[in-house]
Amino acid sequence: MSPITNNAKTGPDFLSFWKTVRSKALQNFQNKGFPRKNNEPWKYTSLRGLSEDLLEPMDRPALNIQANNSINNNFFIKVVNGHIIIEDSVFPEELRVFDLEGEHKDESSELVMNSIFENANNNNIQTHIDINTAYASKILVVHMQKGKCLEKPIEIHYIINSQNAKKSSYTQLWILQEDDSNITLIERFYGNTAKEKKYTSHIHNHVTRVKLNKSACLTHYRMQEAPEDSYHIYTAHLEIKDKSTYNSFTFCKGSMLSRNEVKVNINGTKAHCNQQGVTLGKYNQHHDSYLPVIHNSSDSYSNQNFRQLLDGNSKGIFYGSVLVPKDSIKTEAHQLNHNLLISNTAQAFTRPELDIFTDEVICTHGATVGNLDNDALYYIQTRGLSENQAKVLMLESFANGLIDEVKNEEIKDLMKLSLMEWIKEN
Amino acid sequence: MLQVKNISCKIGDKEILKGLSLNINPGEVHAIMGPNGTGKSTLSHLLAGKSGYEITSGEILFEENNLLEQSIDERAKAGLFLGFQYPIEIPGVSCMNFLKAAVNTVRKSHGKNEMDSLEFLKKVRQEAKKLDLDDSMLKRSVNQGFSGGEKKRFEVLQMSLLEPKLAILDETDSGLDIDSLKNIGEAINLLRSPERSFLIITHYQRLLNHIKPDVIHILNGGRIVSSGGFEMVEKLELEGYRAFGIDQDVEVD
Repeated sequence: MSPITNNAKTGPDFLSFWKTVRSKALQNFQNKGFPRKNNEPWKYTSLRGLSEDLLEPMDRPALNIQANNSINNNFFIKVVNGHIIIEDSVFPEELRVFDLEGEHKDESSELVMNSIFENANNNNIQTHIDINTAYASKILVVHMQKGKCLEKPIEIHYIINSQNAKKSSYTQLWILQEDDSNITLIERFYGNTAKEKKYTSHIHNHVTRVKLNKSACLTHYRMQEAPEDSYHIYTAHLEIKDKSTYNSFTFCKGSMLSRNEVKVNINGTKAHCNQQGVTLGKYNQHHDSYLPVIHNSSDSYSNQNFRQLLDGNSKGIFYGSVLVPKDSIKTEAHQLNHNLLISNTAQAFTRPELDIFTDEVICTHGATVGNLDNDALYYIQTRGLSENQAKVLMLESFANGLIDEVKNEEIKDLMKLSLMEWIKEN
Repeated sequence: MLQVKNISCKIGDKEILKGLSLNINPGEVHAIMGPNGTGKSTLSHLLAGKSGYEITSGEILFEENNLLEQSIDERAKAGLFLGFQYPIEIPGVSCMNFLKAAVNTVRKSHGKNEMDSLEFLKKVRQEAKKLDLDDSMLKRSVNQGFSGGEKKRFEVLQMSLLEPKLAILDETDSGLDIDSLKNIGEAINLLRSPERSFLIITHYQRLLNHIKPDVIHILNGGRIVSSGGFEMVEKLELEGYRAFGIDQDVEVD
C-alpha cells in the first residue's frame, strides 16, 4: 500500500477513503506486479508469470459446499472461495463481517481498521497485499473489548471449491484486542482438487492484521491443507504491545506453492512472541516461510521453532529474520530450524537470521539439515520393527517432537492425524 | 539354540570371518574374547542381520531356522537381541516411544496383546530402577546426549523389556565405571534362565567375574582358536593372548 497516506476516516468518509485505498492498491499492483526475486524476502519464491485471468476473484459457488467438522462447539466461520457464508456460520458477537462496498456504517469495525491501519508498515514490496486489498471487499473484523476472554476458540474454515475455474480468492481478517483480552483463533485451509492437476487452478490470497494491546493474548493455530493444485499466499502482520502474548503454531502441508509471511512488530516491553510450525513437503511442492520479527522495545521475548519434513522434489524454506535494534536491551530471541530430507532430491533452505545492534541480549539461533540415518534405521529394526515401521517412527517422532507443544488437544490430534495420513501416503 | 556352522564372510574384498563355528545351547552363557580387529563385532552384526556382508560359506541356524534368510526385524521378533558396542543416537525419537513401539511390535508378533500405556510405564520404571536409570532420561531422544555408561545401561534396559531368547552383548562393559558394571552384571544375571542364552563379547575379565559364563572362546583371524571354561579368562588376564598362541601385542582399550 505504498502510495497511500494513512489518513483514516470515520463514517461515510471511511468507505470513500477505502475506495481510494483499494483503487490505488490495484493501480500499484498493476504497475509493479508481484514482488521480484531480487527483493530479499522473496528470494526463494516467485509469483511472477501468473496469468492475469488467474488473479480474478472467484464467484460464490452455486452449490452448498460441505465444510469439514469443526471442533466441538467452537465459533465457526465458513468461507468458500473467499465468500463468507454467513448462514452456515456461528459468530461470536465480537466478530463481524464488514462490507467495504456496502452502505452500512459499522463504528466498531471502522475503529479496528483505523487503529491497525494507522500503524501498518508500508513499503514497496507488498504488492501481494495490494492485490488482496484491491479485491477483498468483505472483511472479517474481530474487536475484543478490554478484559474480554472468549471461552471458545474462533474457528475459520477457508474452503476452496475451484471446479477448474482458474481464479483466485481473497480474504482478510483484522483483529484488535484491547487490554487483557484473550482469544484462540484456528484457521483451517482446505478444499477440493481440480480434475486437471497439472496446472495451478486457484490462488488463495489471505491477509491477517492483528494488534494486541497491553496484556492481550492471542493463541493462533493454522492448518494449511489446501488442494495440491493451488497456490496459498498467506500474510499476517502483527503489532504486539506491552506484556501481550502471541503464540502461534502453523501446520503446513497442502497446496502446490505456499508462502507464509508472518511479520511481528514487538512494540512493548515484556511482550512475548512464540512462533512454531511443522512443514511437510512432497512431489514438487514449494513451501516458503518468511518470518520477520522486530524487537522495537527493550525487554521483550521472541522464539521461532520450525521443522520441515521434505520428500520427493519438494522445497522447504525457513527464513526467520529477527532484528534487535539499538537500545532494545534485555531482548531475548531464539531461532531453531530442523530439516529432515527424506529423498535425495528434496531441498531445504534454512536462514535463521539474527541482526543484533545492541548489547545485553540473550539471542540464540541454530539449524540442522539431515536425512534418514541408515544406522538409526538398522538400530530400530534390530528391536523388531520392520524397515517401513522404523521410517514411520522416525518421521512421526521428528514432527511430533514439535506438535506435542500444541496446547489445544483437539487441534493437536487433528495435526497428528494429518501427519500420519501424509506419512502413509509416502 | 544357535548353531554357527563354518561361516565365512567378507566386506568388499576383505575376508573377515574364516570358517567360524559356534554352538550355543539354551540357558548357556558364552563369552568371546579376542584381539581387536579379529571379527568379534562382525559376528554380532552378521547375526543381527546388518547388510553389507557377503557370506562365502557356511550356515547359521537359530532355533532350527535359517537365520541368514530372515530380515533384521524377523530375527528380533524370533528372539535375537544385539546390545550395540556403539549405540546409535536417534534425534527426535523419544526413548519411551521407541521402547513402547519395540516391545509392542514384538509382543504382537508372538500373538500377545499390546501393553497399554500405564502398564508399560510401570514395567519400564521397574526395569529402569534396577539399572539406576532416571525416569527423566526416558523422555529424551534415544541415546542423544547420553554418557557412555547411560547408553550401555539403556541397551540392557531394552534387553530386559524385550526378553530375548538369545542376547548378544557387544562390549557392553566398555566405558563403564565399577558401579555401573556391577549394575549391569546383576541385571544380566537376573535375566538368566534355562531358556535364555547369552553371547558376551568383551575384552575384560571384570564383567565376566559378575556373570560367570559357561564357555569362553578366543577369536583370532576370523575363527575360534580356543574354547574352554572360566579358567581361560584368568589365564588370559595373567599371560595375555600369547598363552593361546596368538603372536601379537594386544591393545587393551
